[in-house]
Amino acid sequence: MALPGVSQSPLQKGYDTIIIGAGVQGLAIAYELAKLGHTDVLVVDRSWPGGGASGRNGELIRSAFASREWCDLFELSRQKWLNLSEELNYNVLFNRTGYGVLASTEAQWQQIKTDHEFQRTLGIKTLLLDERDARTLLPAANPDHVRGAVLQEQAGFAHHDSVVAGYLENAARLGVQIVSGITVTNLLRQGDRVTGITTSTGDQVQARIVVNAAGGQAEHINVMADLRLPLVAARLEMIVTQPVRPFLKPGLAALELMGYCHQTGRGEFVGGTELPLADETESLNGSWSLLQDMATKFVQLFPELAGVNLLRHWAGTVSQTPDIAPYLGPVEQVPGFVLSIGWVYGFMGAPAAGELLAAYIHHGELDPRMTAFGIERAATGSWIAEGSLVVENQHGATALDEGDAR
Amino acid sequence: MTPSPLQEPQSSPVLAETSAAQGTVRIKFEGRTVEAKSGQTIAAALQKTGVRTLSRSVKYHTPRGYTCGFGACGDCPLTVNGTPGTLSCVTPVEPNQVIKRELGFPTAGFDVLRTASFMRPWLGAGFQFKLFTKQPRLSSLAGKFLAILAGGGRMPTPAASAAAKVTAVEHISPQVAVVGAGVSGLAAALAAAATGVTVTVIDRDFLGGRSGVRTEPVTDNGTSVHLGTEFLRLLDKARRDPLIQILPGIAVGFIDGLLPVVAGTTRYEVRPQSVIIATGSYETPVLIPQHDRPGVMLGDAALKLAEVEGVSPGKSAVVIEADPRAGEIAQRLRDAGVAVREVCPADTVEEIFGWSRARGVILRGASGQRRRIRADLIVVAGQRRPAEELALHLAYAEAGTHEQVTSDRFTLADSHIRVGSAAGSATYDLEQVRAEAVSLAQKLTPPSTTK
Repeated sequence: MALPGVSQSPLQKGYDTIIIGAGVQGLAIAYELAKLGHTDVLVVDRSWPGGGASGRNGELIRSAFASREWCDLFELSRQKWLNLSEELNYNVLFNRTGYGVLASTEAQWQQIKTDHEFQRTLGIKTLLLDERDARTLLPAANPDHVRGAVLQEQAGFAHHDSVVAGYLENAARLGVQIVSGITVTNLLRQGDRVTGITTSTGDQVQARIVVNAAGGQAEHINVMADLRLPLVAARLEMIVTQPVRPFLKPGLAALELMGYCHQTGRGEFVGGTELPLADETESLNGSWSLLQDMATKFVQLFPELAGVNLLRHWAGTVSQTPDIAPYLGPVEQVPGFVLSIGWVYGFMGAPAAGELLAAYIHHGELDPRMTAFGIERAATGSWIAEGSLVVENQHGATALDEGDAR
Repeated sequence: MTPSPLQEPQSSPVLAETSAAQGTVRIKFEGRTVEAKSGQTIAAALQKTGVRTLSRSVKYHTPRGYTCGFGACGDCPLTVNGTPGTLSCVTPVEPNQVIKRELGFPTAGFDVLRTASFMRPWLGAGFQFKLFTKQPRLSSLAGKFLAILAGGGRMPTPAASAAAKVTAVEHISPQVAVVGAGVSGLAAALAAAATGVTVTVIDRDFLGGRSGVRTEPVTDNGTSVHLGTEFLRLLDKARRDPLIQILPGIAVGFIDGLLPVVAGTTRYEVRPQSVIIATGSYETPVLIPQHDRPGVMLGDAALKLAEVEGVSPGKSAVVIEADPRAGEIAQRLRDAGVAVREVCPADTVEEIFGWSRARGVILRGASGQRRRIRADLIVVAGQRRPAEELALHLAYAEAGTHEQVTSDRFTLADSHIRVGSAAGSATYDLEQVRAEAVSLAQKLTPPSTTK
């Protein structure tokens, strides 16, 4: 049985816009386009909508980062999150529980104080919580791990499947065709230009614009356009416990643990940690070392979790850029080809990216909040220096890692 | 809760011979003292005292009780000594255990949230995504309220948390790990060990699993065997085999070449060359309205209470037939003193009735006439399905990912096999099991010096 909104109709000969990937990125673009009256759009997915990283992430939402580029893009997104349920008429269960970054050491405390000051200059409202206030915010946390925190109150987490479903149903209702179980086998080209796709169903479908929003498969699509961009596969793992009484209110990134977590509305504790180097294998199997790492660290942070059963443990893959920031927007050397790829914080960023990319596709508008994430930085090497991410990035700047919303 | 005067059948040899000490154990259940037999499970002890509601459904808070008997269905978790989510149908009683139920306001036994079931027409699948889209405050309030309910107040007590921490890790590398010590697992273990390889047998409790209750014939070289007796004989033999290590604990899966086994506060990291999967099978329930009421049990569960635990599953029963085993199950229940009113095909059962527990079934005949049969025990004889989770884990490891591995289509590496009902059919021959184990063992490299 197909999901509500997934089309069973045959493909047309051509569309104005084809979006490859029916994850939260592709569907948000499709919905935003449809909202502009731009409904000659096909979204095509090799599996089911939300079947990749959109269904395998930590659901966290914030905009308090440590660089102007990130803060600007994610602040737009956060604003959209605040009203997304109403806009989609679909309760995406956005919980405004707050998003905290926890410092456990003096050095981390200094770091988040700097971040807080920076966020203040951009007008992003965060609270700096000293040791006592941070302990009040996190009563279940092991006090040894609590030195202080930065809390963004109007942030939190949403329900990832409902976000995918909300965008899907609304895009479909407005006239976008969304198909699943169809693989894009190649891109149609005229010289450098991309003019459509060929599919596993044997169809050749023309389009003015083809958007690569293929998540973990993005690089395969780039190769079809002869586009080589630095991307590296990374594997992330998370765990979910059985439901327990509410003990953790905000979404939380713990610098000391290189971990991020929250407790869902159903009482499940959901969290993931990272090891220092990206795991470049593509397997979706969980690994023993990370399972141990996650269980050990989260029990250190929340001692009550010892003895709580795990329900699930999963792995997901992302395709990340050297600065962990996405590649957004058009590709100058490949006309007709638009990117929304390389996402690691894609769930929280989707509402903004959807709006900005739709504005570009519909009337050619290049918003600076989007162009800041253009592919030019791969050629110039002027990567975005975002100091509050949780990964050791490729060009060496080891960031204090802040956990994230993967 | 008033204790019901149930007839008590004779205790079976399995329980009698595997329990460490005969006698009475006192446990505390929600403030009162309950007497149980040593070796009994918590759920059986509660059944004996007349407690039928063990948990509540999450959404409608309808009562649920003893259903599958083998830790598979999730209807019986209780908080035991401060540890939530303890599967009471497979956890033995221990002196002075403190036991309480979860999910219910004020209690699981009497739950005013049951009123949610009156709102069923407005609480369809996905209702939470349609409510309060334009009232963020109400949405947030509802979320907070539901979060308190959903967690059910569950959280380990500090003492339980401390007690749950693993304090020792043992690394063992047997040539063969057998997961599941039912008759097929033990037969395979003994046959493999007889070729000279080292074998570790892993099982939660070494009580024989479903061997003691199954109705399907198992043969040895064509001669039918009594599974309960065979289990005890094989276990005794395995315990005395120097190449076989008996490891009581829970195998949590197969991950990165490792079978982690949790045994109390010790974790065994078992790295076998080969895995013999003898995880047995499940019974599948039948979807009939109110099929989750306390008093509705699967066949193995009812027989386990009657024949293994020595507790009557009910006074009068209806057996719902969705599998040919129904007749045999009915006969064995009669032998245990249960008055079986009727064995009826599943497609004739319109619904199960009863508010807080099953009181009977409503049947619909071919011409549409309805008929009520009263019974306090509804036994569902559902189809068997192999317990294949561990086999799937091994298949994921082999494939490198689980993307293309599905339960009806997967292959195991040559170094692993499935035996007994885990292999697909609950009717099998032990000679075949032994032959497969021997053939597997002969492929292995000679015993390593480190064990």
